Amino acid sequence: MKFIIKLLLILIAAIFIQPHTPWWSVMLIAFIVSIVIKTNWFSSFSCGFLAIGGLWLFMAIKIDQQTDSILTNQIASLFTINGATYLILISASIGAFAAGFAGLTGHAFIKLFEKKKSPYY
Amino acid sequence: MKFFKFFIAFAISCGLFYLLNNRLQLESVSIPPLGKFLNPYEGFWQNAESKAIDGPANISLEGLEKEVIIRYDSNLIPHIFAENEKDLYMASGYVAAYHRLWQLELVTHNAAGRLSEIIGKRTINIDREQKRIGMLWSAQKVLNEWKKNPQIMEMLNSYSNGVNSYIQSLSYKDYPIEYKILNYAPEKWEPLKSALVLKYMSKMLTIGEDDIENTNFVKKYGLELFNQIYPDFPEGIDPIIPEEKIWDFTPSFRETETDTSYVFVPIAKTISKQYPGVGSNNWAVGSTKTKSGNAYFSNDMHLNMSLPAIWFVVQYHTPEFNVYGHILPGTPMIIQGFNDSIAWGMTNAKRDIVDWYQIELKNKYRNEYLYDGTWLLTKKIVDTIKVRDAEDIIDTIVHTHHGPIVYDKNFLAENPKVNLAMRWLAHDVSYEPLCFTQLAKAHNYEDFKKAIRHFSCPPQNLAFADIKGNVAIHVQGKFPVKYPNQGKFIMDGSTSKTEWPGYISPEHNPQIFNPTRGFVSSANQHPVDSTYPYYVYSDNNEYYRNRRINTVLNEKESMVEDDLMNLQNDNYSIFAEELLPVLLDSLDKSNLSENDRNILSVLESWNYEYNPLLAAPAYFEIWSGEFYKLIWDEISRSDIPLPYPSSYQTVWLIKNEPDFEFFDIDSTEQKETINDLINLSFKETIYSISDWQEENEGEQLTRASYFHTDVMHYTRIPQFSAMDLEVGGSGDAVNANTYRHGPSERIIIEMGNPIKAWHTYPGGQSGNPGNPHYKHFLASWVNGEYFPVFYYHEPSDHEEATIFSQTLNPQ
Repeated sequence: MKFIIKLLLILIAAIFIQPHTPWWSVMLIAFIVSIVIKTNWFSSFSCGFLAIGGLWLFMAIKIDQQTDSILTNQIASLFTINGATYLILISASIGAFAAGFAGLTGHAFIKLFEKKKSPYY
Repeated sequence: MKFFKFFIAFAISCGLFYLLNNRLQLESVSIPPLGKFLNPYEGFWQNAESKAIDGPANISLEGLEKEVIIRYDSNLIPHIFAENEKDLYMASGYVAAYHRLWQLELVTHNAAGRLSEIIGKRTINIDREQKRIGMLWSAQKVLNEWKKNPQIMEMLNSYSNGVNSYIQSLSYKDYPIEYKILNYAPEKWEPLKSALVLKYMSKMLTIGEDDIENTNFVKKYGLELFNQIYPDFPEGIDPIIPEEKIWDFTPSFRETETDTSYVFVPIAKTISKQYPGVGSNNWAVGSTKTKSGNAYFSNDMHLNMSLPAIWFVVQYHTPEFNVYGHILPGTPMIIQGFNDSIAWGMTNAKRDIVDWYQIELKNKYRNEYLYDGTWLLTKKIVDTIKVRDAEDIIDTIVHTHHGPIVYDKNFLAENPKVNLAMRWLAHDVSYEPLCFTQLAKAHNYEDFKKAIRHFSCPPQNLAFADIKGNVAIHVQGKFPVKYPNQGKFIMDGSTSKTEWPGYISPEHNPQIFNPTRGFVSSANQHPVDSTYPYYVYSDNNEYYRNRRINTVLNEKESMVEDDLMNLQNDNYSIFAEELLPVLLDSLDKSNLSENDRNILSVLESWNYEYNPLLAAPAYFEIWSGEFYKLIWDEISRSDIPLPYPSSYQTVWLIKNEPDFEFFDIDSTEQKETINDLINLSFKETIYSISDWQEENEGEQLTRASYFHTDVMHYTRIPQFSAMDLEVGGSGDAVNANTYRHGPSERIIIEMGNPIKAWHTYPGGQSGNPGNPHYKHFLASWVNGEYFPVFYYHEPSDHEEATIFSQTLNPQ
């Protein structure tokens, strides 16, 4: 449950913030959300990864479809990437990894302030 | 342990951020910041467009006085309706920036010698040359004078404000894609940049002079041979001004004896020269020769074809005038166009307006130089070239009253005694903007004549047609008066005797109104024959397109637009017609293999048309090239630069001087005759053809596949270019397509009521490779087809063709 809330929170924040901010705001979002909602390290990484990767993937596919791949094909060829699909996937994975690692960093950061549970009761 | 984990995660995140937010340099390849570039919200994705134009319908611009209405037609041509010129030019700047911002900046960075700021070390030499020949210096100089002219400044300031309003509205996501690839940001526009665009054109159209090469030749072989190979007026030329013209004036020139003296200085490499094929065609057919009785106007300007296209088409409408035509992005002036009364357009006028003076400096401090027996002070300008990711380059350029010393110990000259100052007409102050504002408003021939007086450089053959059926042509420019041979060779800069004494008065410039043959035309050939009272010389005249145009126009009566369209797309080569029979007649046809005979028979049955899918033009191109190389081996193998003789004079010499001494090949023992060269070059042709076929396995050798005509993006990125176009033509055909040069636009205008026009160019109005209109006209241009022009009188005109409306409002 926490996993889904965390993922949605990153996604919704990014949907609103990303259009007005540089690309790295997705790193900040994932970092902050990971601090706010504590999960394990795996969820922290994958929430950022899936939310931002999914968002970028959706946007890239949408633009590609709307514009008949007019520029995607040219840029793919310029980067010697075999086809628009790969370029879409690469774009999405850049957002995914950046946000994933930022989430993980947030998790590791909040861990610093976690008090060790005392063995004595 | 917690700290360690955090540190690792933090380090990975920081590393990712750094890698994705910065430009990476992998050997020679630069990779844009991938996070920025690939982010669908701001990266290249945002440059992909589904519609030709989709901006806001209402925009408010600071500085606008009244509302401006813009209608885009289906070819994405903006029709701008403004209440006054100030608003008009502001809108023009806004519109130009909207479609072509990156091109505006690149061209002006190139002209100013600032490419290295954005490209890096690779372009240092280009920048140094621009600084050396005084591009920026002369643009600043001319702008300082323009500042005293309120009309010019109102135009350029308004244009600037328009461009800047657009730039200010941008964030990274809106930048043209080239900024994102090269990772930099647009800078503020200023009137200086418009001046730089004109200097850029001047350089493209006037620098091709052979003073250094000519001097080398005369030093090596003597003046007599020089005059034989490079005559001022070869036999059989067909100048712009037809023979009927009587020169009824006495020239105002200084009496001097013919001076063919020169100063020899050793120079191994010269500055870059314009491609010799750069030229253009224009003609205007008067009422007597057209079916409708209306005058027709035709212009196709040949330049280095590029994407985004070198031209941008606009219509300007104010209460005072209504004009349609081609502008050079970076200035608001309509260079080629028509209004309700007249049409005008230009071709490059060939004349030697670049001269070189050897300067005698007093000592190594270079503070003084000798002139008429006294020591004059030099002026030093320290130029800094900023280089991306590297140290600045600082170059001190020594100026004399002739102009800047271009060649010296720091630039291209190895010998410390070499100091060549450049005297270039483009260094003079001139007022071309006034010419274009007045042309836009001109009603008749008298207005046209008054307007073009402001046009000095680069000199142009300005053709004219009006709605009354009149036609005219003027060879317009500020031409120095010269004594015979003046400026053909490097001159002595220490005496006033070698200087330009003054300029030909404008009314003495070659011109003709309604000639008896019923039409005027020009194609960069000689302006006049030798009866013209002033001395005329150019390093590079055209000999073929002009004769073809005149032949066709002379033959045809009651012409319609289709005739003129066919002529613009005419692939016939008079060069082939004149040379090929000579080659074929002298070829020894015994001992030919079957393959050789096949090639021969293709050539024998050829009609001299450079049609795209014919093999013969490719064979001929190779053969004539090999033949030329063998004849002029003395020139191409020389260790110092020598001038390349014209094809025209080469053919003349073959036909009239078969024993000419240069026909012998230097590197062989025996003495070759012209027949030997023809047979040898045929053998070379056979080899070249089979080499080509081996290299291009499976491809047919044709005009199109041999030339590989490309329209390249400025960055040479092939994905943004149009490559291997299936076009016909050659540099000697009216359809003057070569490898990278050709008709950069074609327009035909019928000056009737209403005025009709048809046009096309190799590109599209949008400069964005991600816009559906980026190459909108290209296919039609390749196929020789045209788009009808929508000429608006009211914003509500041509409703069926209007695809987008925009209103610019005062703030």
